[in-house]
Amino acid sequence: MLTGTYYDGRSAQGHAVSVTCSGELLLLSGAGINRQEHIHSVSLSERLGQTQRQLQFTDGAACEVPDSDLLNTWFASHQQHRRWNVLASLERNKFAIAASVTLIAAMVLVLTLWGIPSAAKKLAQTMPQVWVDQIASGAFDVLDQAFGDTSTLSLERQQQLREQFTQLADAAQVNARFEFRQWEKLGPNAVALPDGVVVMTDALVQLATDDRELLAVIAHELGHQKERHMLQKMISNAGVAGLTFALLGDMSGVANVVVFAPTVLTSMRHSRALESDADNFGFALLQQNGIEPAWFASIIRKLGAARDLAKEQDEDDKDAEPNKPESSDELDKQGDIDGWQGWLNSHPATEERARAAESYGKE
Amino acid sequence: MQEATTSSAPATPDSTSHHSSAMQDYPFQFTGKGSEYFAIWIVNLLLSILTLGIYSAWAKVRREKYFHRNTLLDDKPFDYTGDPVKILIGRLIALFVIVVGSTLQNLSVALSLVVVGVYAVIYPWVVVRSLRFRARNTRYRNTVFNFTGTTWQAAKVYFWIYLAMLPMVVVSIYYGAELADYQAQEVEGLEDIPGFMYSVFGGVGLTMLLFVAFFPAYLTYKQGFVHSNLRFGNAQGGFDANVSDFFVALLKVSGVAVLAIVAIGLLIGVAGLLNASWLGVAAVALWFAPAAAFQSNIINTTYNHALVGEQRFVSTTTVMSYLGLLLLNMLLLAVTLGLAWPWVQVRIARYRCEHLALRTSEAAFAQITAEAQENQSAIGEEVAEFLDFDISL
Repeated sequence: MLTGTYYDGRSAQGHAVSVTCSGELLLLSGAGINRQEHIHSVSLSERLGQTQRQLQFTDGAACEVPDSDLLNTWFASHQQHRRWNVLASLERNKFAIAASVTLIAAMVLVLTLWGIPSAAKKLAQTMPQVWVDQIASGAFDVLDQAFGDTSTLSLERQQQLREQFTQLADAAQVNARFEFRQWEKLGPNAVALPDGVVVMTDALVQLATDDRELLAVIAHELGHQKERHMLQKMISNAGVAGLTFALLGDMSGVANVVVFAPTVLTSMRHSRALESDADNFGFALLQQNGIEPAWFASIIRKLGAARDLAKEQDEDDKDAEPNKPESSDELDKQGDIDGWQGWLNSHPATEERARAAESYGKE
Repeated sequence: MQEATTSSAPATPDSTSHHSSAMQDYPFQFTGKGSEYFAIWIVNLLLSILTLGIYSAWAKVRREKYFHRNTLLDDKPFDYTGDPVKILIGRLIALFVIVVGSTLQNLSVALSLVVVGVYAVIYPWVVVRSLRFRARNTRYRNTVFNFTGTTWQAAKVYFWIYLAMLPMVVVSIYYGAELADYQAQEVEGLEDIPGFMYSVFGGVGLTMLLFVAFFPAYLTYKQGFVHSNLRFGNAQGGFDANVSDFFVALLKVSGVAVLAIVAIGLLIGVAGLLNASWLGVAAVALWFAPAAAFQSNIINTTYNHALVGEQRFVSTTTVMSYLGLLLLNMLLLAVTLGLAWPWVQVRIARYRCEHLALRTSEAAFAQITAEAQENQSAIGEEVAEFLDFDISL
């Protein structure tokens, strides 16, 4: 026997009743209520957690009863409830829950670490140039306006370097435009933008003692350009965002923190793979054009040393004035140094790469 | 198929003697559990993935049912009766509309404006359909809710917001056209950069100013529209807040925001002096104080002026408790990489219920619910359903 609340379908006034079942007859009885129905003319709302269930009658009356195994026994011959009962038992089954967690976690890992990056690679490589232009147009202009400074290098020096770079780009059959900018926040750096502009900062030109070092960096950047790596990253990030939305689509703004994690995970791993791709492209290109890939080792070691120096200076500054409040100046400088390390941060394991450059083609 | 109905006569409400007319607060209760909902969520999520998203409409109904059925008033549960097939169709239509819209927006400035205009015109219709779908699929005591607001009424409410956006729209249309001209002539950028910046900042500034000026009115009319058009059985909802009530609420929010900014500044300063980074963390936590103040004040102002028949709600959220809820939820989500999502949802629902009650008496309570209306089916609310407007209790 179950105790429930009966509503007659015309009034919202509830009536306490007791519910029993004999054979295929459902019996409701309470003060002023005495109702008998064949079990097949009553429908039972589906089981969900430990929530109350409803017996619905054809005339709009209903009876709310607590969830009980008794109901399943009474309604055992009722086909329409089987499907929902399967779902409810899955939701209670420890194995099904554990399997769901594992499968979803595995799927997220496989997609973010492998599926999305390789799909992005295929997409980026097969995308018609017209589309790429559409997506990427103006990337350099936007950055240039944001940083808003020009190079301190003489125009002659710029022209001299540009000619060498263009020669290398022609050899690699890559359409690239070369620009020089101060862009102090980036430190010694070179960036291949998706619209075909390769920007080199003054600090990098000054760090190099031989133009072939700069050509080695350019060869690497041309690798990025040729393989449309920036575009790949854009597609990949969009893919991860899409996946997160699909999984947690019912999430509100509160959960934006979560969206961040897989994006970082993918882009870090993705970056390393792209860098070594670009390295290998660069080494081959240098060799074809009679430049030793070892020049790449030379410049990358200099960049590493420059980074370490910058780090030390930063620590010295902090030691000198330990109690200095965090002024905006210091924050700016901190930002500088972070940006300063940029090229190497996304280009890990300096020494490993330097050795790879030195041993390239010698095995 | 009534085989042996010996008695189904409606019992008279005052047939029992315990109906006292003393006013009393009937608190809302939430009985859902995080662990229980986690199991339901994860299993349905997997099914949604395996069916490439098709099952997600059923998963949504499952979720709505879980939260409705675990919300109790006077120990009686609410229920949700949305049809998954309708929701699926709605999602497909909405997806189609959004894809077509954004494709058109990429083609030209003029088309993009047309799309925005069409969205603005259909938005009130969508809101009304959505509110109606949700109301008609919510039940309590075997009695259906209904929403009787019209599209025209909704349009009048949104008029205020559109009006506030006008300066920004004018500026963007003007400069959108100008930029297109420049691009056509292949001139690099705008010649008059300062003038451009002044008008953009002017447009943004004026828009924000108008928003501040119109916001209390907008909130008052919007909440009034939602609550006074809600029906429960034969009991009509009501709303008796004035613009000044929401003005005061927003003034309080601004007060909290100013205090929070001052406190954050102080904390960061002291944190630097003492080299205590935990004070910095406290400063970050304070960053969410204005959001908590906004939510708490708007919820209280809305529900303390909402009526069901003659009965009032009592909403007792506080800024501090809401801030605590918000911060702990974000911490839970960040630490578990999102897996705590079900617990967070349950925590929010429980908080909302714990801070809401209906002030009424046994007698009046029985009278509100005294007459059930005809069963109504929800049809054609598909697009609206996708927007998932929440009129949560």
